[in-house]
Amino acid sequence: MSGDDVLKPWRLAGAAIAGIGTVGFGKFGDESVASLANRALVAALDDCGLQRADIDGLLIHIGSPRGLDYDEMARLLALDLQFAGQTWSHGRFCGTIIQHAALALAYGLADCITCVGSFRNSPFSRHGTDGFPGFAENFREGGGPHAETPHAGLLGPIGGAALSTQRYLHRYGIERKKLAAVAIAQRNAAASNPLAAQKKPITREDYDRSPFIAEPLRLLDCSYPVDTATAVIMTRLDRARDLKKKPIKVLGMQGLCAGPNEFVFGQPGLGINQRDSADYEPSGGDEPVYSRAGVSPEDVDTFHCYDGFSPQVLWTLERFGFAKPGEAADWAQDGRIELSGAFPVNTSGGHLSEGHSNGWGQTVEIVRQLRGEAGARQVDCEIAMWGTTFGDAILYGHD
Amino acid sequence: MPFRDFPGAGDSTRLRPLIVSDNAPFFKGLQEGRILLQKCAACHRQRSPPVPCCPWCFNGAHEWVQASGEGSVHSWTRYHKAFLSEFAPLLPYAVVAAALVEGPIVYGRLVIDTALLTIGMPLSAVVERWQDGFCSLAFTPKGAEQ
Repeated sequence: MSGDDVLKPWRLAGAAIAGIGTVGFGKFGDESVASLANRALVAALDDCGLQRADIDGLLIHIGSPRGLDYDEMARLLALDLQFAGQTWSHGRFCGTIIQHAALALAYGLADCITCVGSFRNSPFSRHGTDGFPGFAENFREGGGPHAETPHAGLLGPIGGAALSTQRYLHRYGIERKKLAAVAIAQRNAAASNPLAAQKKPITREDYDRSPFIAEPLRLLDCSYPVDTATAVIMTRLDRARDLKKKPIKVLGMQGLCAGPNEFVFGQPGLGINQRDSADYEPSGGDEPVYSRAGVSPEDVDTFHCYDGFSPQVLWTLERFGFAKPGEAADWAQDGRIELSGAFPVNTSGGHLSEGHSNGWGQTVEIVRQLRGEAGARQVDCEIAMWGTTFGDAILYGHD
Repeated sequence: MPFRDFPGAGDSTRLRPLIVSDNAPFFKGLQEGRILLQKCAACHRQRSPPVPCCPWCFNGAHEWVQASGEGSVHSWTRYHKAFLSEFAPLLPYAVVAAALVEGPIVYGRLVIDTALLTIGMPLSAVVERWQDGFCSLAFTPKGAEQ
């Protein structure tokens, strides 16, 4: 089969986000994950005008115990499904969930798929501590999922991110303090997001006073953990056209990258994941997501990315061709990535300030922005993009 | 390699890595004061972490060879917050990604911290021995152990 033949079902059907719903980002007392998810689902159904009985597919991002597994969710929320799936309970799979939904729709496995990012962090101690449900992952055969090596004191997701950042700053001769631009821009955006967990604007002085957690990363370089529930309802494009809101079309996508030189919290080739240090040239505009969508980086109006730690924003901007290698920190200065800047990034505040939603806050924000529903945060946009340091990306636009 | 007692709190019980066929010789080597690295039987490159096939030529055969313990800082971090109580008495403490002269990059605690810690700083490996006998790979600035 030629490439075109392979893509045919996808191109014929098309996939769209028809409805979104979220409970917001913060603490919700003892409210259950099921209740949070139900509220998000009700909001998403109301948003697009579908009924619960129309939902025949469910994709779950974060499973039990922080969230609910797909079978629990279906049983507790009275969903009768003919298609269900679930990813490993890590933040990196938001784009994967959306992509699996799009593929399932294209191949007719379901008609209306609800993608759910619903989980509570508040009942547990912080990620990296022994009271976090993922603590046992530190002892996988291949080491922790973010390079954690407990017996060496390399603990928490921040350890690998800090090593990557230090090497990145060294490689390109970047001043550490320039990272502040990311934290400040996203906090300024969150200030006009009523759902954000952290809304108090921060200054450069606040950033400089922020304590180190693991050098060179400060507290304000770290995402803010929250409880949340978000439901994103996806249908084929033709069906979405008949629903309440205008469809937000998936224009193109590319999957997660992995391999010996990839590291979730760093650029390829930094040598942090115990492999070679290599000269890395991001493929930028040559990333396949662009040719699949028929657009180029210049066409993207607003960019939304996974930001567990602030330097990930810089690495993602470089990976997808918005800034040249090693230049994103300079590129992002002087408000360029703020709401009022030339290239607004993570306009809801992202994981750093809206709260760590594992990408779901950014996904609903992309939909709001493209619909013109972002209120005080509205930016002028026709094409919005999701991308990550781990290589997956989705381009969204209008029908 | 010199041995040093782990100066933090408690033993290694809940911090020990999963020992499997691939990494067992490495951790056994540390108990004997040696860093052992896999060396590909076909292309002769040395590698870490231990894996069942060569990441460059994919050959499945290897031998274990002793590394010199010399290297330099590939990257580093310094923790100001303790995620686990074992390390709380040590704050702030540094961890390095060390580039061994044999090639591989390995992680280890920098057991003698220094304000001079920087990328490229020469390192010497040591073995950090927990009170229950478990041994971790660790580093000092080169020359600091003398």
